[in-house]
Order: sequence, then structure tokens, then C-alpha cells
Amino acid sequence: MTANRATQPQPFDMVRWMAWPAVLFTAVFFILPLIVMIGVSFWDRKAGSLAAAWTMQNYVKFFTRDFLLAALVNSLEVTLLTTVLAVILAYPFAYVLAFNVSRRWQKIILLLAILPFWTSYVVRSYSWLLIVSENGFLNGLLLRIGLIAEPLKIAYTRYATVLGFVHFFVMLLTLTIYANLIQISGSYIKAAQDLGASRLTVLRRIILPLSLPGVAVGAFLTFVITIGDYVTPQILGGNTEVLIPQAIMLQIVRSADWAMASVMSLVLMLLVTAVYLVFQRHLRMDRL
Amino acid sequence: MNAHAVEIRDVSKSYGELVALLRLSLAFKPGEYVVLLGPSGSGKTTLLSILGGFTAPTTGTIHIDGRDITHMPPAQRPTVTVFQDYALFPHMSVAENVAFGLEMRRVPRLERRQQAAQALALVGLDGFGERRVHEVSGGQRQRVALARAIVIEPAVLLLDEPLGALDLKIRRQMQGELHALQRSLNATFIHVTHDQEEAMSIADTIVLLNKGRIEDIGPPERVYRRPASLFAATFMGDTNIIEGTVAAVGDGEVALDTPLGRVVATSGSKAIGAKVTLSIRPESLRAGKASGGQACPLGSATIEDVVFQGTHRRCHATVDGGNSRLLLSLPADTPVPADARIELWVRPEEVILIDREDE
Amino acid sequence: MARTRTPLLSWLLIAVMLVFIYLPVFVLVLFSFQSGDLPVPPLDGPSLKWYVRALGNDRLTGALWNSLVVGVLSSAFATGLASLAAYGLFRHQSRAAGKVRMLLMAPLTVSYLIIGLGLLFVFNLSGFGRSLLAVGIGHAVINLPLCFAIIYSQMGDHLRNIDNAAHDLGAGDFATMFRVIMPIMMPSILAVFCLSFTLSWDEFIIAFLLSRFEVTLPVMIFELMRAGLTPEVNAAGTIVFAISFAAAVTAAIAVMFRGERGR
Repeated sequence: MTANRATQPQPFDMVRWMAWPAVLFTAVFFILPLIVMIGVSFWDRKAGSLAAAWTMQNYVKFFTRDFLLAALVNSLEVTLLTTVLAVILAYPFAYVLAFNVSRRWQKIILLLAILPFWTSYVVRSYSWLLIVSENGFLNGLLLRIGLIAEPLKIAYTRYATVLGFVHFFVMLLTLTIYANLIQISGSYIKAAQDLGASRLTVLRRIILPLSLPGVAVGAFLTFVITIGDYVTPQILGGNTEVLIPQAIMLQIVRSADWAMASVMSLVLMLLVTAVYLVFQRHLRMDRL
Repeated sequence: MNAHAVEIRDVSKSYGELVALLRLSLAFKPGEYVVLLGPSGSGKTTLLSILGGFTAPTTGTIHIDGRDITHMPPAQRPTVTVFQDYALFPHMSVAENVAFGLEMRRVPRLERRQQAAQALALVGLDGFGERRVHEVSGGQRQRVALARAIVIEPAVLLLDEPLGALDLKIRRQMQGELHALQRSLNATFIHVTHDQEEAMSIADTIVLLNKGRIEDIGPPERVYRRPASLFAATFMGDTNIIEGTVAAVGDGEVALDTPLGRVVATSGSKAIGAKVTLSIRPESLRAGKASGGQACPLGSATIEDVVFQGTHRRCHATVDGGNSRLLLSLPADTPVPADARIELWVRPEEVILIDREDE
Repeated sequence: MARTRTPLLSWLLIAVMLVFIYLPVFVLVLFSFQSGDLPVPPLDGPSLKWYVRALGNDRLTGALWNSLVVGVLSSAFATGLASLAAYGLFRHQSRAAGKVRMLLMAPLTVSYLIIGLGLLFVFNLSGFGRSLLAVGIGHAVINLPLCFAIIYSQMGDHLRNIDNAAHDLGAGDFATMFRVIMPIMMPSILAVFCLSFTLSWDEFIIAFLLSRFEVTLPVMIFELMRAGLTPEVNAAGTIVFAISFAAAVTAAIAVMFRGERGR
């Protein structure tokens, strides 16, 4: 019975070590750069080069220079606007897909709705530029059918930026809200209707509250990604208004002010963390 | 003198504050079919996991055939576990699954295939070798898991609620097959379940666990008829629990004062005045005139409700003059209208006495 | 039930949303066939000349190749490390393991711009400099947490029993990993690889910061745009879309295949 089972020496437990490569990689190429960045933010910038002297002046500069604070405010406004609009557009779409369409079509339409995810982000922003620029697609169409007399000035304004963002996030949020909605057990809805609730009431009192946590997570995701994005505002917003990512890039590209770029990056990270902490509590209260 | 196939010495398991097993000591003979029975949280699965080598005990040791295997990893133990969800490898065929253990022991390919085919035949799946796992039904998967375990001829086979996911009919059938399989292999099977009927139908020995302790241990009939504790009495099947005091002790008999009047039992030696709990199974409460010399009459009772169960009628009856409500199991061919009055009696040897304890 | 109440309104909404979603794709592809010089209306007769120009643009085809190489290599690297880490942490559960998981997923919370900047500082200060390799490393940093999170989430109790069963039957760690675990996880691993590739393929800001002369496709397109709006960018963009789409479809097939194998 035990003939086949010679007592083997305890083999080297390699499983214990399996996570180390990933951990080391993360430590060297993620943690270390952040630490360096924190360090750089305190460095003194003298005549274009960085001296290893510790100073708070960069932070002072950030909070006193109008230009830089304005970038922060602009970013917040654009991000909030994007988040609100994206949710308002995505929710009805996801709702209709989840409840008013047959299963087979749901999958097809959903797939169609997220396919453009796979166009390059840069390319997509460029496409919106083509659409909204003065001699672009939209103006061309509207002028042709006589709806407007003069081309609309959308390109290189905040509206174009928001448009580009909203387009992306409508796709993302439709997916996440839809996934959330189909998880709501049909039994709840049937029970409510059985007890006399109209469709509107079911939506208002049952579906909306149950899907809110999922929407909240989606909104948070939208916020975090939008506020840190460089491409869309740079391509579509032009230089009429500067958002934080653009300001950061300006510090690097134009003034080689690494210290200031670090300061702004860290402020951005703190902002996102702060919003996350606020959100956390809110979500917990909802889970009653 | 006999080498115990499995010996569990002083084993306990705690997870921080939570105690899953409390200093268990057990010994099983080779070739025994042992059932670990108990409700959820009783520790039966924990014990099985410790036997299999997937959990380390907090204290105590495990010995198989005299060897201390407490700290041996599962691969080296002479045990094999059949998991509750079967854990068949989905990317391999049935035959490849069954042959896996042999492959790990470097058995050559041709021999592996033969042995796997034999094992499959043994569990009634002759010719199923080339099927994929997702192509076979639940009951068949269970047998594949069994074949995979027995093909490497373990000393001890551990089964974690193997029949839980099966329909009643198939479960009954499998119980018989498991029993026959164990007999033909002459291996020790240790089988975990929460179903007392299942335990009674296959076990040589039942180990009844509750909250990490052994409530009772013994052959099914003994545990059923003479349970060692109140928990054992109520877990093994329906029963009527009555409190009583010892009134007189005679020659092999004990008379007790109870709310049902004077009841005579044949078991136990008690002191007069001792408080005792009585357990009388529904099928032991007989209706009609007491017959046979030893019969102990219990007085009259009024039937409250009757439910026809096919093989018997399940009734509740209230005893005259008392608040006692009894559960009866009357023969199916006895018509019992509701509100009927019947005479009840019981055989003293069917009255079970249990020491009063706080449980 | 109440499903048939307002199907028309629903379909109208769906149509409007889909038009909105596809507008940029439509315009992009449409004007890639522009025979004129500007990617704006009116569309003068379809022409492939811009495709010819795009494919003849060595810098563009070079960038395409660079994106491919960076995508495949960084994804393979991230997926490999993530799979190992996921299995290792799945087998050894403990409070320390929980902290390690949090560490590995931390980069998900930081904006790509900041990750790229940090790496830029470190590479410059250490003399390592910018290069495609630097871009590859940056992409691995952003993809590793996602790969890990997804693969780990697929390792449930069922897999644990299978892992236990394999060991119980005598398999060592190596045999268990390569004969049992990896084959079962393969569809997830492949899907994660494709996802990672797609993200790397499309990624701009890290590639922009960390590349020098040799660039990836999104950076190249950005350069083209800066130079002026021509339908060449449209053609390049459409090519990019086609390749991304193919990768996405591969991932979808891998997911469907997993469904067939059962779990």
C-alpha cells in the first residue's frame, strides 16, 4: 500500500517566493519614483537646474500663483461637469438596455456601444476635433441644412473638452451601470409591481436606490480618470484654459521645473485621495 | 494488540478565540467505515481536514498504522480526500483525472491507463474514460472523484459530504455503493455528513460531534437506541423528551415519576431521588391496550393532528390531565381520526434514560 | 410583462446614443478616404491615397512596430509576474499576504501622468534615460496591478479544492502549477494578456514622457496632429482601430472559450 510513496525530502517551497518578482518590480518602479517625486518637490530650483537643497518654496509658489491655482479650479469644474453629464446620459441608456430590451439584443447593443473603446484615445480626441472645429463636420452639416448662419465655436473651448470626456465615459459608465442593473433581482421588481407600484415608482423607489452604489463607484472612477488626463484637454481645449495635467506638462516641457511639476502631481494625488475618503464614508452610510 | 488504522490523540483546533475542536481522542480499526456526523459548526469538516493534512491541529497528533503523520503534507500521507465539490480537473478527461495520482507516482503510461480503467469499472463507469468532465452528470462526477481516490490504494479514504449535491434516489443508491466499495477494498473510510439517516445506513461506527466535542460514538443501532446524551437523542431522530425523578429502583428496573405518571425503564442504575431525562421515540409509543408482561401503561391521550406519511402516521397527542404533548408514529393501517382518544403504553426497554446536564 | 410598454421610445434612445458614440469613429473612417487635403467636409470622392501615404510614412510604420513590440513584451512581462504573484498569494493567505495584495494594486489609484513623471525623474537621475524600454517598463507598471487583480479574482474556492486535490494525489508545487493550475487559468491569463496589450497599445502619456526618438503609435499620431490636420492622421487612426479591434475580438473569443470548458 505504501510502496509507491517513498518519503520525499520537503521540497523547496517555491510558492512562497512567487509573489516576490511582482513585489520587487512594484517597489522599484512605482514606490521609488513616488518617493523621488516627493523629494524633488522640496528641491530648490536655481537658474534652471536642481540643487539638492530642501525648501518649501515650491509649495508656497503653487498656492500663491494665480495661474496654478486657476488650473486646479478649472480642473475641478471640468471634471465635475463631465461626471454629472456622463452619468445623466449613461444611466437612461443602461436602464433601457437592462429592462426594455430582449436578452439577445442587450448583448449585441452593449458590444456595439463599447466597441469604440478600441479606437485609440488620441485618435478619438482628434476625431472630435474634426467634428467640432469651425470648418468641421458638425458645422458643415448644420450650415448645409441652414440651422445656423455662422459656424459654432466649440473647438478649443471647455465645451469641446467636456464633449470629448463625456463621450469616453458614457461608454464606460453604460457598461458599469448596466452590469449593476442586471444584477438587481427581477423578483424585487415583480414584488413591487404585484403590490401596486407603477413603473415610475419602481424606478424611483427600488431600482434607483439599489443601483446607486454602483453609480457612485462609476462616478468616482470618472472623476479620478478625468482629473488626471492630459490628452483630451490638450487636443480639444486648446490653450484657452489650462487644466492641471496641462499645467504639469508645461512645467516639464517649457520651464523644466521638475520641482513644481512634482508639487502639482502630489497635490493632484492628495486631491484624489481626499475625494476617495469622502466617498468612502458616503458609500458606507448608504449600505444600511 | 491490533494496530489501529487511524488514531487521533488529543487533537484540538482553535482559530484565535474560536474553538473548532476540543481535545478529541479517537481510534478506528482498519477496514472500518466511520461516519463523522453532526450539525454545521460541529467541527466534523475541520477534523477531516486535519486528517487529510490541509489544516494543522493546534494540539495533538494523528497516527496512521502507528506512524505519526501530524506534520506530513497531504501528498505524502496515506490518505486521499474526496472533496465536496469533487474538484475534478476540468481540462483533463475522466481517465486522465483518475490516472493523475498514478502519474504523480511515476507509474508508466500503459499501466496507468489499465489501472484507471479498472478503477472506473469498479465505480460503475466502465468506458467513460474518454469523456470530458463537463460531459458527465453530477452523480457520475462523484464516482470519477471516487475512482481517482481509490486507484492509488490509500490506507484511509476521507469523504467530505460526498452525497450532498445528489438527488434523494441517487443518494440512497450511492450509499449502498459506497458501502459495498469500502467492503471490497477493505480500506478505512471516514465520511463526513450532517444527515443522520445517511450515517445510519452506511456506518460501522458513528462519531457524533457537536460544537467541537464528541457527543456519542458507536454503531448506528446503539447510538440510536441508547444515545449517550440529550443532544445525541434529539439529533439521531425525532423523540419525546420528558423530565422525571427516580422513585424506585428494582431488579433491573427503574421506576420514575414523570408528568405522564409512573414510567418504568430497564436501563441504568440510578439513585432514588435522582433527576433524569427520559427520551421516548415516537415509534415506541404504542396505541391500544398494553400487552406483554412488561408493558408500562401511560394513560389516555387525545389526538390533535394526524399527518399521513406513507409508511406511518405522524400524530401529536395531548396526555390527559397534563400539559404534555407527545409525538407519535402510528402504523399506517391504523385509522386515527382527529380528537380520537387512545390508550398509550410503552415497553420499558425502549425508554431511554439520559443524565440531566446543561446542554 | 411591462416590457412592451414603450419599445419605440427605448429604441429611439438607443439609436441616439449609438449615433453619439459612433460619430467620431464614423467621421474618422469617412474622411480617411478623403481625396482632398483636409479631413473636413465636403468629402470629395473616395481615395486611398492617404492610406498609401500613411503606410509609406516610415516613421509611422516604425511607430506601429514599436507599439506592437512594447505592447507584447510589456504585457507578457506583466501577465507573467501577475500570474505568479496571484497563485503565490492565493496559496498563502495571511494578513501579510493581504498587505502585499494592496501593494500590488496600489498603482491603480494613481494617474498615469504621475506614474510617468515619477519614472521620468528616476530614469533621468539614474542616467538610464528615456527609451522604448523605459516605455515598456512604464506600461508594465500600469498593467501589472490590473492583471493581478483580475487573475486573483478568478481564483476562488473551487480552485482551492482542485489545488488541494492535486497535492493530495501526490503532485509537488511545480507539477501542480504547470499540470493543473495554469491550464485551468489559461483562458483568464490570455484574456488578461489581450486586455493588457490593448491598454499598452493605446497608452499615450507614459509613452510620451518616456520615449525619445523611437516612439509608439499614439505619440506618433500626436506628432502628426501637431504638424497639421491632414487625412493621413485619419488613415493612421483607422489602421490603429482595426488592429485594436482584432485584439479585442481575440480576448472575447478567449472568454467564450473559457465558458465552454466549464469551471
